[in-house]
Amino acid sequence: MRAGADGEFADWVSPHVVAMSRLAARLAPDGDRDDIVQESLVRAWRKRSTYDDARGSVLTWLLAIVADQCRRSRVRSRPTTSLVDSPVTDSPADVDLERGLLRLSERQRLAVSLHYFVGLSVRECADVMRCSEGTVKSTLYDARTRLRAALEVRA
Amino acid sequence: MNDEEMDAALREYGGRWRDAQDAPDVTVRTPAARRWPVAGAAAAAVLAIVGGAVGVQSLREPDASRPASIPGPTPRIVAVVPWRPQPVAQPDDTDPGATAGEDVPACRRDELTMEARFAVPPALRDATVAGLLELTNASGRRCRVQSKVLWRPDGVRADRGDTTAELGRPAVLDPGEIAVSHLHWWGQRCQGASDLRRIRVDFSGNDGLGSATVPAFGLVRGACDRSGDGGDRGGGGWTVPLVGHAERQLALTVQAPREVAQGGVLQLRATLTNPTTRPVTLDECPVVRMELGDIAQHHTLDCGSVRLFAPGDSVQFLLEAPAGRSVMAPEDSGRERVSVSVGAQHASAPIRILPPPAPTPASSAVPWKPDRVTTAPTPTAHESAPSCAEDALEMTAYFAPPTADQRGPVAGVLEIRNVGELICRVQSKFSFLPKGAKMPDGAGVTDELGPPAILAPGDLAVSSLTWWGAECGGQADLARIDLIPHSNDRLEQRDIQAIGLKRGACPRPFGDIGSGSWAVTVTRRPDLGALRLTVGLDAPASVRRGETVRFTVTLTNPSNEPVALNRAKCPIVAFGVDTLEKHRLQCKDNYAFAPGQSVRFRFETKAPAQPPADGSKGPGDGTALLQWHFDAMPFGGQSIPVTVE
Repeated sequence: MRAGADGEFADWVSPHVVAMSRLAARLAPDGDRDDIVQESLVRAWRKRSTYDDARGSVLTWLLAIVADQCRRSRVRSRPTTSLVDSPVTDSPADVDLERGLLRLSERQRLAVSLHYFVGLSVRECADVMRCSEGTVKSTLYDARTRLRAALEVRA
Repeated sequence: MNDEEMDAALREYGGRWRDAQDAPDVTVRTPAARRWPVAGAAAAAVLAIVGGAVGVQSLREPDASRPASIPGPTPRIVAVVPWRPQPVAQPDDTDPGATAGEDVPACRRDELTMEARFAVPPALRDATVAGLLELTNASGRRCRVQSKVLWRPDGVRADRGDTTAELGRPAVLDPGEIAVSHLHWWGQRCQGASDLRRIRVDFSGNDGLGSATVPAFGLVRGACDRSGDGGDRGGGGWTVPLVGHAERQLALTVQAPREVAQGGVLQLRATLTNPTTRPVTLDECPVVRMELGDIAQHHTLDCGSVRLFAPGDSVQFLLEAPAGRSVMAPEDSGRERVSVSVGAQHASAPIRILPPPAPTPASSAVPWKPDRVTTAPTPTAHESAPSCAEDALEMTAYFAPPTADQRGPVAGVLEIRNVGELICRVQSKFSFLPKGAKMPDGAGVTDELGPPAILAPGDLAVSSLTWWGAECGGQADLARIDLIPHSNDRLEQRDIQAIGLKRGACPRPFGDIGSGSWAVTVTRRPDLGALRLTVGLDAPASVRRGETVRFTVTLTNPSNEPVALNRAKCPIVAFGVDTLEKHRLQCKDNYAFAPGQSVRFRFETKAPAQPPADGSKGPGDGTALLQWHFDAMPFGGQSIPVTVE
């Protein structure tokens, strides 16, 4: 395991922290992104011996940890309303899209977040979600169908 | 809109979202803020992790839109909790995660994986043993478990059957989800138990589950060689999946005195332990229900900031209340059971009820004497915790390697862990010097104690160490240091392992011995953050008055575990020559310090324009101190002298 030596861990994870932050920002409750990433890094450090490159890349392994941390965080958090302006949701279309994304199932949100917001390929999404590429494709299709329905209702 | 158009819209929106997320300073609301010069190509790096090398980051000027101070690291508080009236009519027994699940098929045995984890209290006498049985749905389908759970150590005969027909609530598990059952045990004898690393679990009522042998962690033989009343084997029903209330993931044990007098004060010790391998965070302090006889009261545990339980973490709550003169015990046994419930968990212990003590006859009449009524001070954790015994503490010192041109002192951290069984307190300043080096005459003596650190069993406290050139010639062994506490009533001088100390760090002309003091109480939690970092300063030896002083600060993680800082907990630092200015480190993104790793930050400040009125600032004539400190860690910083010309 490449990250086994102490000094190599930082090298090992640093290229992926931005992607971890993106996924956490999509899935975690408001304001928890950095906490999620920190917890995930510590968890990755502790579990680094379990990493198996035959089961996916370092990136997908780390993102799976982030997704799990986000799920836990959502469960224990209470609904809050963000008072912070979002830099990209100025247009009504964006607002509607974000609202539609909130109506997706947990699994669909994960797939959409990984594919469209983190920028992973379907293969990489499958590694993170621990399922087949076909399942990812169908999950994304279902998510898009649901989003379209939500947007059409609003229109 | 068809599917392709939806796909394109998501791609377009996702791209814009990514750009906005990664854009620098997206949260800055003061456009006029001037960015300080950034040294080196590494400045553009989002994360200053560069393996063994040193990364360089810049520092932003103080941001007026941010609060002037940030809270320090969360201390671990072990609170003394009085029975406090609380407007809680009934604990909320509804659980949003629970569903009837009648239409969900029952889980098959081959679809489940199981393991048990126990939290055995350090002092077993009159305490229950608590644990969790974790059941994971390892299948790819949704299924339901609903059964009574009975268990015993593997090899022990089940000579008394439990014929209860109660099944408890069902737990509906999606693939990968976990359900837990709390396991309680008191009075169990282990005779016949061949191996306490496994338990036998009997499921009553769930289709197809039957019995299973389950790996067990944390169960020790001392926990069961106890006599006493109560059950002879543990039992529990399924709670909802772990995605329910966090407190259900914690194990509760209760220790009670063997007896209490009617009208006396009952003192209980309730311990919440996280026996799982995952951290557990409480949304709010849990409600506790205490019962003695027919009397029940609800209270809120004063958990303060103790919300996050790392795997294996325990927090003890001391509960006390008047027992009441009306408390009666059954005539046949003379013992009553005191029960404590936190959420869905219960623990109880038998307690003997004694008659109230007879009043002492007065030898003579005492006249009424007016007296001032004073309010007794509320006991605090600091006051209530006894000093730590010498053998209850484990200490290790870590030192950061000095940089080649570092002029400042050698920096290190001292970690002290409570390996005893009691909550205790350390409060002492201390000196240290290499093992075998001679203590200079009159050095290191101080009456100041510094802040205390309250340590529950397993807790860790961290202190920064500063070393101004200890005498380390001759026979000095740099692999160990002598730590000399001042004023702590139960600590003695001891030699401890020193990691990272090098001979080249010693010959410095500033002083003789190192010093330190406990910073704050911290726990085994991974968010030690800045507390574990050491500080190295590199500045010019002299500057002109009124000129800009450019210097670098090297933060090093000398410990054996990674340290992470993030924007939410990014430390505020104070630095300057004589006068300190507060700034926030630029932690827009996460910084992760691998063990042994250093990150260097560049700073600027102004040298004082006017000479000090008394001409005596700094350690010598014409010399001022360049200081750099973490705001959250009063002793975490460095100062070096610079000559102001």
